[in-house]
Amino acid sequence: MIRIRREPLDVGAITRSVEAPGCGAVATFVGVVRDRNEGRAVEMVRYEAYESMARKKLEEVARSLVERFGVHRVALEHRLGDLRVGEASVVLAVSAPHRAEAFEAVREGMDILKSTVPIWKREFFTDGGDAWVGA
Amino acid sequence: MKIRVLLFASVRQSAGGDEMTLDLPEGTTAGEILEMLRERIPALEGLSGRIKLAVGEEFVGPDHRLQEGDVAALIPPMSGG
Repeated sequence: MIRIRREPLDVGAITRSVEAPGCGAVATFVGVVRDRNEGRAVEMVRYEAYESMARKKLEEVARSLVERFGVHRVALEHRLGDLRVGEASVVLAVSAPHRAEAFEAVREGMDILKSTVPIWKREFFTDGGDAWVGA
Repeated sequence: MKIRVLLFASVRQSAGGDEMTLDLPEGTTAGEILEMLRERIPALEGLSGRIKLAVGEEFVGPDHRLQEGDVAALIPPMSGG
């Protein structure tokens, strides 16, 4: 399942959703809001997106993982809105016959996501300032 | 031709609006639009070279020619994940 949503992500449910016969490996990556960035303490992060295009691009990421790594199922969910430190912003889970392709797919999937999906993170710091990441 | 340009993230914040409508000669390219917008939106100066254009929800290169009714979007450096 490929989804963009504003509610907290259910890492367990997303992981279970990719289980499939013939797959001995399930690999899950969880992106978590960190408490610091470049030395500044983070209070909150806000994710926004060009939603319709982001949805398409997330689906492209998932399709490319199946094509390139032979994984069987992919679940990819990204959360938008205001997130606190420790909350999950993204979950990518794949299932595959063996762990080698599962690990590779998750790693590559996150790399592709970060460079092609129109989602932006704005960090709000405890000192009162804020900054768009990467800008 | 009329083109809508959707704005996001730091560019939207700087421009103070969600979108702009541009009236342009037929066949204006993506590169020409980015050049033009650089003069109108201060935030684009600091991002030169790192802003992409999407048209119809697909990234396009600088030579892509736009058509009447196209919906473009300025895509500043992405930071999802």
